[in-house]
Amino acid sequence: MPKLFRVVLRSALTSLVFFYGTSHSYGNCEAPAYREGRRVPNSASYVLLNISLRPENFAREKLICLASVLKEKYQGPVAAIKIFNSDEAALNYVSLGNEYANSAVLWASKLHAIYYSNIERHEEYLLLIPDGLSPSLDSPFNTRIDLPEKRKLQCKLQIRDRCLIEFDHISASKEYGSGAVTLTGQIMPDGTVSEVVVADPDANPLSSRIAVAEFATRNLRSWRFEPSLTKDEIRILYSVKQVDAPFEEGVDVRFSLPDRVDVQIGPVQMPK
Amino acid sequence: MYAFTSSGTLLWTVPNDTPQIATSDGGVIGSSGVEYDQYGNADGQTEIPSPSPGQSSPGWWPNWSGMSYSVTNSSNVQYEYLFSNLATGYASVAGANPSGTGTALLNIETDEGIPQWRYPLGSRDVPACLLVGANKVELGLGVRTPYNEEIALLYEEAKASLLSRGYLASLGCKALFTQNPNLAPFFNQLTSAISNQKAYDGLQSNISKYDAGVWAQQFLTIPGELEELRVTPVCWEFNRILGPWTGILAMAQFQPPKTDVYIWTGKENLSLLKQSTLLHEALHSLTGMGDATLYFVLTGKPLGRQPTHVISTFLANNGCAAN
Repeated sequence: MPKLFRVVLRSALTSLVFFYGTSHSYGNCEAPAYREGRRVPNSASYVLLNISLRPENFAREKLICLASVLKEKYQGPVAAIKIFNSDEAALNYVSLGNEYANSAVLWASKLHAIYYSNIERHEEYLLLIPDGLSPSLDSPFNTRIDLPEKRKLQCKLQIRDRCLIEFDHISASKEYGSGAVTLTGQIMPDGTVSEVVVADPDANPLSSRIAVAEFATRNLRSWRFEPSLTKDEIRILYSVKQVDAPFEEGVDVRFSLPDRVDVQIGPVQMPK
Repeated sequence: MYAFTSSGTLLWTVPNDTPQIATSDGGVIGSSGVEYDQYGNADGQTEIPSPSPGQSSPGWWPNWSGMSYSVTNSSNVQYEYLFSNLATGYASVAGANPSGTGTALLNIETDEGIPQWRYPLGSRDVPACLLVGANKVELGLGVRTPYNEEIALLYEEAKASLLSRGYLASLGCKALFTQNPNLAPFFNQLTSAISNQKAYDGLQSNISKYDAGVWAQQFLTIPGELEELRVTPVCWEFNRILGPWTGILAMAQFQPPKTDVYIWTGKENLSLLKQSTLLHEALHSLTGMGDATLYFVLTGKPLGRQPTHVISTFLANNGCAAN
């Protein structure tokens, strides 16, 4: 092995250990290595912490195993550990309040799971969060896994037993117009979606054809699934409709996987 | 010289030198004049003036304006100066402050290289803001900080102008609100919302975000959010040294009485705090909408990653406030 390569390799491995620690064997499972990010101050009775994982480690078995490690290490009456796929986001993320700086949106979008335990309420669960800007327990995108859990549960959003781990937040916009477009692509072994193409380029009136196709293509390219040994073909119909019905934040997004996403955009339902 | 992590782990050592000045790039200048980077590597050598015959080198000492000096001839009191960007935070110089009296002072920022020295929590200046308390400090009151009095004046001027010059009742503003079903119910409440708005100093108010009411109901369905709101002081959110501040200029109260607004009293607001900022914040309290939703309601477009003061600009461009 050339000396320079050995040095680079050793340096890379050192960095890996330094930044992410090492993976942890726990019972019969292997928890992925993680890196600690920001910890909320003043939280003597609470553990409020951000951590980051490499994107390929966002998979049900690994996260459930990681939860065991987190439970053992961060003991307290309440623990809420937010799990990001970006070191920078884990270091800088602050809960998106009503008002926020623009960089905060990027960091928040990298949140893809939360480990939560509350001893008094006898609650312990993992929440899988494909859309980091929709981290609520009641979001239709999110999958709650009550712990301890040994089985491989179904996710709310999945294709061929691969959970959808990440997708770009879909915001309300009147610029898309109304229309529908069918896209094809491949889920790669690392979980990313590639080779996205419009399968029916002439399906919409010219006025909305470009906007709907661009929105749908951009969104599908942001999807990331759990890793797998296989490539999986996908064919997804995106339907976008401007309607009169009010929605929270002006938009209603429904996934009917494996083949459909419906986006309805209307007035904003006023907060209670 | 020994360097430690924040948790006390030894990082590196350098024999035969003493730390004098922590620099803003994470390094340190030793009494030998050697400049070290954050890993303890010598990456520069400041030239210490030759001492007088028979005198040992005094090394560099920091002064209050961010310069370092060295006595070249004590009998004639001659000095040489070195410009050094001091680190922010506590203990940026040996002896805890430039006079070396042992009283730890906080260097809250370097304003173009000039340090801004502050007493720590409990003294006459900006609290360090690590603990939740009950303080809501009215804008312009509390202790004097570099910009709070100027920003309080700006706020009062903006409020008075917004109320007296007819912007809120202008045709453009009326059209913007009344032609939008989401905004129409609030048009007649704009004047009272601005009149009743109470401004507080975001950097000096250590009330928890929960008690300050700067949250919306839907946040409470996020795991851990309630706990975080309870242990996070408002001022921490605005603190760029110890906290995560990245550009929030004001924070409105969403819970009753929906009148309070916490203002960032850093220098950016000297240019960014305008009439439209006050209206932007009042709209949050009135409508209960966060930035992203409010921007969509106003423009029909997604906010995306734009800075949120585009909301204020949009309101001004439509006649609801001065530009």
